[in-house]
Amino acid sequence: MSDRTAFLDRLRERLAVPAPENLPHPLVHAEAVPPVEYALDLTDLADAFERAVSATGAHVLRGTAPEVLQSVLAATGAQRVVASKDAPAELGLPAYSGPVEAEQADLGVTGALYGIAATGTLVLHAGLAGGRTASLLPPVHLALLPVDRLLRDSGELFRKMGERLPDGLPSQLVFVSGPSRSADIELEVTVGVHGPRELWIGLVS
Amino acid sequence: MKNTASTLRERSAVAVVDEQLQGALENATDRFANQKAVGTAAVANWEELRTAARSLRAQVLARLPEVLEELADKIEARGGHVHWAADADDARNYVLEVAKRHDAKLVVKSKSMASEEIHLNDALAASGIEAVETDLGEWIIQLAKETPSHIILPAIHKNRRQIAEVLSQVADGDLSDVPAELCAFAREQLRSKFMQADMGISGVNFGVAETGSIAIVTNEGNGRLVTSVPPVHVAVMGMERVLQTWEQFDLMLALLPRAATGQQITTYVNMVSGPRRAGEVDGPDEFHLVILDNGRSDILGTEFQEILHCIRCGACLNVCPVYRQIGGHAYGWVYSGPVGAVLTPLLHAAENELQNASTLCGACWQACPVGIPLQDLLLGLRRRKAESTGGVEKLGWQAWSTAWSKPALYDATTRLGGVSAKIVPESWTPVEWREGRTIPRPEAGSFRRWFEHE
Amino acid sequence: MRVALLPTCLVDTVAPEVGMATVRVLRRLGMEVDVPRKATCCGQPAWNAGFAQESAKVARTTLRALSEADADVVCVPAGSCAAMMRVFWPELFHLVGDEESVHAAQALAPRIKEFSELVGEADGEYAHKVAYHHSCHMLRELGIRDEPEQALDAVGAERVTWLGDDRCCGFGGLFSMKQPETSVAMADDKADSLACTEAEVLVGCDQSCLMHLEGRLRRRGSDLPVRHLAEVLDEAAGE
Repeated sequence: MSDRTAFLDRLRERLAVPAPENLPHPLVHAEAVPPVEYALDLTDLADAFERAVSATGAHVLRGTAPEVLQSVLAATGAQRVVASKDAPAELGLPAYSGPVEAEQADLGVTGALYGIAATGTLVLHAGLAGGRTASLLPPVHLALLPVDRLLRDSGELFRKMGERLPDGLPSQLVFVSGPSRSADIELEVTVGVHGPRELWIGLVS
Repeated sequence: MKNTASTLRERSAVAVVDEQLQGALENATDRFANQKAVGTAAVANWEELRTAARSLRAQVLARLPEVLEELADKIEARGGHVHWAADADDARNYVLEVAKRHDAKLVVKSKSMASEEIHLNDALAASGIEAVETDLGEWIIQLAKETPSHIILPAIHKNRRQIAEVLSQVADGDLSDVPAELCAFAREQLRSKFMQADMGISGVNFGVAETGSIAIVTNEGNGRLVTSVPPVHVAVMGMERVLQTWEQFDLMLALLPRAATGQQITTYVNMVSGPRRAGEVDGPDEFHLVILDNGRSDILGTEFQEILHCIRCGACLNVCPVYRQIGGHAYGWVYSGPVGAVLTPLLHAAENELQNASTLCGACWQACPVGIPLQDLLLGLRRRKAESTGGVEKLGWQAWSTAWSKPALYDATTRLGGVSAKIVPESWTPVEWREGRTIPRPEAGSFRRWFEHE
Repeated sequence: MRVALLPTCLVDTVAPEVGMATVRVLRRLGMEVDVPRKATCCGQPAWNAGFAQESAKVARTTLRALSEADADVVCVPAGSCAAMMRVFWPELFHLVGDEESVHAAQALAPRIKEFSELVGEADGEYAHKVAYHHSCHMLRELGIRDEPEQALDAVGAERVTWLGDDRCCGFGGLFSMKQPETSVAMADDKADSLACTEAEVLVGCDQSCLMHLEGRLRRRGSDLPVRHLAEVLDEAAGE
């Protein structure tokens, strides 16, 4: 506790005399946080979401959860599948037991709490999923997202947290926008370092 | 090539003739600047957001003690641990303590410039703990035993062949220089580290006080792996990297990726609020946040306070015409580019001439998503230096001001200057000028004499 | 319109032709031009080096002379000097505790005009391909981008597309001598991309940038003409 007190007392001491004003480039006071205005057509959320997702290099499929799963299994040839607790119950997939099991799988199937149309983003909730690694360790990730869970933009989540997350923040809330990518080598984009190299999103009704 | 010369000028001189570096810098900075233009075009009110962000960061800093307290209280309420590190030593010791308590032998790290600032990896290594950087660029420079040369792309100065050579050190045999193959190798190598690690250490892009959370953004997913697989997670955060509300975070999330790389959003945004909870089959059992001062409090209350608004996007590096020529290593420390030129003299007294790595052109200010007037801060550092170590230069300026505050003397000296410029042999002029440029030779006579007779 | 012209110290030393061209152009536009004898330098060299006291001493002399001048506007044919006066003088005088000069500087600021802000679309004929260099203080501190371009367009100059035309030339005052290798590398960056255009003339509004770029071009063996906007408009009038 004494570390905290000393630390914060130091800050209070330093802040007692405010920093001088910048005369050539004066700071303009903002009373509130302005919402972000996107120059995007967000009239049809599902279409906008699909466009944004495709731009990230991920795939969108529409249909029922079982149909989507079949398509992805066929497309990827995945053999070992793990699923998180929030994957649709109708798929009949048992929830995975931990990272070791997830690491050995070819495909991780999860649900998603929300989708964000403006950026093609999935919102994953570790509490609902019962964990974090089903969507992270396998090389392919399939997320089943109910189409009525689409939000326009991140402001619809962050500016309405009480409504969107009535039980508060989970231990981990993750935004996923596309497969894992890196441009560290001569700026050439490669996927699959270190998270999934393929992301499939099933927009289910 | 390591650039270990001792002065800014010497390191710059080495950098500007390094053709490979020059090519890499030009390519990367042009690419990023173009991408940023595309990324920001998707936001209709970019300028409004920038202006508001500057004010909001200032508001948070003005209440920094209260905001940090709220963050800490809420983390502790969830069973997380908060350590208040006054300096680098303090931070390192705490991390080592946690590591020892868990008998940690292997640590995986996601990007944390604050951890590089405090030389955490060295301290871990000295205690026999292997600390592996997992951000691909950081892993490359770790293996090459170098420091990062760009905030977002640490290995920007290396081409694929050089990277293949570096990674081949830990491979069985030589690797090809095809990026996809190098990445596949990195995935495999680092995947086993993630799975076996005893502890994960991450940085923090933003702490969010209202829910006791930290947010980490990555494209690779290593930030998620580091905070999901090992049983212990330690996050290191510069004390100023904090926000009060998720509303403010939404604003920063719109600004940061677009300013950094032009992306609409990073692939992953990982928002951590404490350790794993009942019913979760993975996730750390323990969560620690190290809040780092290390000289930042000295900046509060001064004319340099705005540098603490920085969100580490790297946009200033991408537009800086000086960085474009000299690259990151010429700055001599962890932070480079305009932000490095301001922050380093303030946090790392040994490097106290970086404010001269600038022409005060203002491109950084215009690119900064939170509107920091970096050129003003650089000039403030020059004033600070001039006041403390005036010396011969001060005498020179005093003589200049004595002469030029008197119209008659100004007139006489400028006329003399004009005449000299016409006739002085080049070899008499300063070598710093004439080495690269010819001397201006006026043709006409004195302007003011001409005007009088007009 | 009565104009008080501050020649700038570069014009008063090594670039008298720019001052002469400025006077002729303004007079052709029907303005009455005077050069207040007691105005010297704006103080920027010392300011940029971090020596505020010394800068203020010189700046105060110029501030007084220009405030006293019987003129509608003050014309400054250099973006960096105009920016120093309009944007930075109040801070300079505030830092040295001279609040009276702060107020005087703030009062004078609206009347301080960079050259291109006064010329509108002057008449003349300048049928050449030009590359226009946007100098940093003028572009970013004063926000002046369109006026010089319009002035060039009005005299029939063909402005070429020049990558990096708004990137810093690398002069930066004493930076050019303290970090000479970097300064020259920055000039080379501009000169290299300039060489990829069909420009016949390099034009700018800041003699400091032009002096540095021309110096580097000549050292590289290029004889590309380099002109201040005032010289272009003067030539365009063709008398």
